[in-house]
Amino acid sequence: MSGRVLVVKSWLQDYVDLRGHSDEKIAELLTSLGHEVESVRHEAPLDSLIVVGRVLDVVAHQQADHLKVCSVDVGSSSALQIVCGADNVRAGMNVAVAQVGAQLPGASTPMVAADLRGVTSQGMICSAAELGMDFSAEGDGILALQQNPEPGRAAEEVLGAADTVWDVAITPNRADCLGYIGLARDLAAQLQCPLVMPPLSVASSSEDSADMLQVKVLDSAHCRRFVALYVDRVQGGVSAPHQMQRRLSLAGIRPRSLIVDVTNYVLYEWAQPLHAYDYAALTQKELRVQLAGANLKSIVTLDGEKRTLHRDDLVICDGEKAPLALAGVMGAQNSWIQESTSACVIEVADFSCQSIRSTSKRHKLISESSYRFARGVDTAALADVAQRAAYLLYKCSEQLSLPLPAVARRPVDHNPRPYVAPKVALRVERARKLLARSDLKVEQCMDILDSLECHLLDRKGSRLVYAIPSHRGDLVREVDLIEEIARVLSYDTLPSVPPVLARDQHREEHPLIAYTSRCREMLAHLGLYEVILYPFTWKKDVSRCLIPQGHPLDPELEISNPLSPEFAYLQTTQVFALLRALHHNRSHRRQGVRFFQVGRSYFAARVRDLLTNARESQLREIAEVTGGHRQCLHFKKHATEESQRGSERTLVSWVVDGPWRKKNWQYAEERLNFFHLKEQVERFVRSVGVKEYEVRPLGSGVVPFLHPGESAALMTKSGCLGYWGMLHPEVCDHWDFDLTHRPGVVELQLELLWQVACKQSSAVGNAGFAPFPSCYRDLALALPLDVHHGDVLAAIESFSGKKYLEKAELFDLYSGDSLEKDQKSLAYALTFSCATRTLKDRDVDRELDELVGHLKANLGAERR
Amino acid sequence: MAEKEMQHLESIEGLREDFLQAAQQTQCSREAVEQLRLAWLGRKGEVARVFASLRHVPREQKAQVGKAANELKGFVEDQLQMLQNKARKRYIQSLVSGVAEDVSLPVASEVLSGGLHPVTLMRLQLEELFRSLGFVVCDGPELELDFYNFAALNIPDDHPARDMQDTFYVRSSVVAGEAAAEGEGGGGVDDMVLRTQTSNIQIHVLKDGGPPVRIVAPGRVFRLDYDPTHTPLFHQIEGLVVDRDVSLAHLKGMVEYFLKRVFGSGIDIRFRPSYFPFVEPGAEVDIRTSSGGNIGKWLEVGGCGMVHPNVFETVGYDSEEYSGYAFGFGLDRLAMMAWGLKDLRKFFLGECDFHADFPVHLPQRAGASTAGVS
Repeated sequence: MSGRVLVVKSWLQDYVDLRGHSDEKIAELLTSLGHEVESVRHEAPLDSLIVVGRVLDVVAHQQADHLKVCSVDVGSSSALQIVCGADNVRAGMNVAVAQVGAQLPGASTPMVAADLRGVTSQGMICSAAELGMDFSAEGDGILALQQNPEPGRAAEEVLGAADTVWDVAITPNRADCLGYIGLARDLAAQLQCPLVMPPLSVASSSEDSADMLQVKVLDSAHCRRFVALYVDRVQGGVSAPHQMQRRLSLAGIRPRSLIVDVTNYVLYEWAQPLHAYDYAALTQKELRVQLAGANLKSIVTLDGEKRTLHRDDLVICDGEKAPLALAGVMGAQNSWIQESTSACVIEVADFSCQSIRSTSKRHKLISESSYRFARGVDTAALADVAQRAAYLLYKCSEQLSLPLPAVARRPVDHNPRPYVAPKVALRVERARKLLARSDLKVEQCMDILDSLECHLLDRKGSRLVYAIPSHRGDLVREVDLIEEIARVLSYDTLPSVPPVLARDQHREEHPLIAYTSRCREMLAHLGLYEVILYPFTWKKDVSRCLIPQGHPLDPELEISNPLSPEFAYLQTTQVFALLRALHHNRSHRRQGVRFFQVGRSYFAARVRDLLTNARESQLREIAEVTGGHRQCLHFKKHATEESQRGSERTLVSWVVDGPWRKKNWQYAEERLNFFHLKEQVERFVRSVGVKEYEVRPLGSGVVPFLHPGESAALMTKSGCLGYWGMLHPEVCDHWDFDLTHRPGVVELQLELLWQVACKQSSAVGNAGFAPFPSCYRDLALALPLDVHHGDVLAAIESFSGKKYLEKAELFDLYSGDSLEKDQKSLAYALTFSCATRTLKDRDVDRELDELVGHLKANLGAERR
Repeated sequence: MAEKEMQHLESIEGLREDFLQAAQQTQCSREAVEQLRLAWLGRKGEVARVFASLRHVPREQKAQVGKAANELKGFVEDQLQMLQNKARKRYIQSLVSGVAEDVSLPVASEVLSGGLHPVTLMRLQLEELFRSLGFVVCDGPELELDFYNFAALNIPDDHPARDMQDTFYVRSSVVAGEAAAEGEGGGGVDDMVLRTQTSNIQIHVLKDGGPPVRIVAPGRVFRLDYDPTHTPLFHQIEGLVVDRDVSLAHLKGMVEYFLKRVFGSGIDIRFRPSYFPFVEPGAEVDIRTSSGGNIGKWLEVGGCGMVHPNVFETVGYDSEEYSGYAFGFGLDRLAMMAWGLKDLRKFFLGECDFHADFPVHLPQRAGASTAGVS
């Protein structure tokens, strides 16, 4: 249930004169007062050919058992002959007759005279449904018009179908506007016209409610005031006047019976929930307000649910006996108004917001009543509200010519702490400054607040002191009064000043913000598309990624109230979400997607201690690679909060789905491999300022979802910046990715990239071309299989005879027939140069021979 | 002797004839011309031989024969140069003629540029816009304590305003597990929330440095909601300005300015009273465009208001001396309007067809509006 009220125009007009204002204007006014009109519905009037008729005579149809032939007086000289199928048609009934030519709501064509089994029907006697009205409490059959209207009168005059209904959103601070009087008060203030309060009082009995029942409030903390009014000689089974039923149904409330409808009507009028008890159900003649405690176990509420009571639920009990209502939320079936009800007690109370809110939450039950109590009610109006309900019961009975109820002379009113209006001072000067309206007059402010029923207690110059009315619990401080003035003046009439350039002198933008934008841009330039995915995951995906329990990538922050089980945990790696997206795309036959995401991973703060204390070196290595121990650098932290707050870090992650290149007219299909990813990683990190790094193999199981032989970590002097690799075939299998096109994933830590980039950025080379020409040689080496390219480079680096060798670039990699089984061949292009002279062939050849010797000694390399 | 002299001169003359004949027989290709050049001007070519034979020429004739040899060399060089030029021209011609690619053939789509998310594009545009007005762009935690997300923003516990935002509460299974093991019952770990609004940044910023304040903070927020216009994750941009004598007029002016920069000066902007506990007076902002799919309809784009004195007092600012305004706009909503998108959920599904349409940069346009209102 949202803060919505369906506002029926004809009803609202009972409290404020809206004549002379179009529907659009009224909607605009409501919106400009802060009550946003979300939609509007126009109800059409009944066709003028639908008139009041009086059934004069009913005879059975000769040819059809279920049809009756009626003679109906519609005010003209001769009665109409109408064939009717309803069971409830009787002579003397007043009915609505659709005459020939009448257009019924919802019908496609006008009414025609029809021949029904040999008898001509000159129209139709209508049911409520045929008139487009909901008087469902009265059952099926034709509608009997109330109050004996004159035959021939337009039915529209009697039933009043034409109306306008606005769907209005009420903000949570305006509990008063969950009722018509509150809305009318705001409108009246803006239109500068009076608010018309409805009539209240009708005491028709000399009895005192206190003679008939007692009220015991055992828990005054949760029940501030309790009013109970006894009404005798009521009829539980009769229905309300059509106008009331019509208004309620337009407002979204299903009409039931006079007593229930009256309580709902008054609820909508005053935004004050009421409850009516069948007096006969009060076996103890005592209403007791108490917490359920340990003794009261359960209640069957009106919706038919049997609910187990919580000890803190506030309930209304039949003395010491059974609970009669879940206070402020819903009544119980045992005391509800029945057809047999002949006396009732009307309860109007002020229960505490917190109590109702928590009961409502515990039972997952939000009613019109609990919604209003949770926002606060007008405690000073309670007795008036009870009187109003009694008044309506009396007047409606009178209108419908029913026996008149006997309303007790006065209610029982438990009100130990009557309302004392708080005082709030307003400095008009302050309002002028805040609203930039230097022309605001003191009298203008006074008029506005006066129309909202704020009571001026004192005035010293432009300082005004007000007593706040009980229906405006939201007015607490001076600014609240200033807002009232702004609201009634309308925000649109307030001035605006174009902005000027001004610098924040106290703050500087964190460089990471621009760095992050640059990262995004660079990744997009690598041909990746940015996605934003939900950072939630579940244990199923964690195990699908082979992450064991307790691994730093095992999510540990749990959502207490997830939207669905798939969203139960906060992510520790973006790989879960990226694989989910990949799966979604593949299942729609979109192969080869490339997505990147810059987002956060979330850890419990205490993980840091866990990892620093860890003795196992592997765990430490994992922590190093996954960064599970670090804090986000974006924002300052307050030390005392660190233990409570989880930690966040920013990840730059991407996924590349295979193939690397689709087959096209130029190339054959190229499958994705580790080195495609490596190229992307290196291009990316260089483009964002990280130039010096090392690529190292990952230890087995460090990042479980990666292929152990096709994955690597990006290392720098400051630590590991992240990892990448081909997805582990088993993980592919778990995700239903075909094994020929395994995707690859990359995950880097943005904060660390930035820190490293800051350190490395100053290292700019100063070299131009060498002054003397270089010499070039190719060197092919046969090597044992387990010697890596990196080992060769390291050996060259450590070669002590190096005088002229400038660089060695790998240009070929080979293993096969011409080599021994346990050998492979690496071929390098070597560049030699000298800063002081042109090199001779013999200089170069001598050094090359020494190098070959060095490589043979260190790596077992043979020159080929 | 004269006979011998004649012999030398004649043979040189003969060589000239021979060269012309060979040149005539040579094909006009770079390779053939090079062969001819080697045969005549190479180290062992005809011209070199003539010069080598000069040492047999008697002294008194040397001048005349030498001159003839030099003339021969010059002649051959000139001729070869001409032939080389001709051959290069012909070769270049051959590279051009007959070559006509089908330029409609596609390049591999993998190498075409990627793109940014529409929310990022909108965010970058707004960050730039606010920087140009002197604002500092800030960032902050998404995992938040109750204090920053609610209490300090004048939303006490059990306040009905908490129902406006269905909050995700977060607990640590590690901490809860340990606490349970230690017999603490694991209670009270629900204090962490995923922020429901970027307004938590207001409190961080106000606490970390004094007034005046002029910041914007774009970021992710989370609420328990899912339908075509609501997703559990979405984005806001928060703005906060605090100084002496800041009024509602400054707020209105700022909001009007930036919305017109984004959507063009032709839009209508409406401020209507609303309720956010951390501002008073508070307003919601609606806009109405004269083009696109929602012509004439008011669409809500954000909330704003004057900073509530309770907020100032919570962070220790004098609410009599300082006033301020705050605003929060939905980046997703703005992006949806800018590109005419209807279903918010598509933003977060990662469907390649959706993302393929968005560029790396917004086009810079001449007019005020950079994001096209379609």
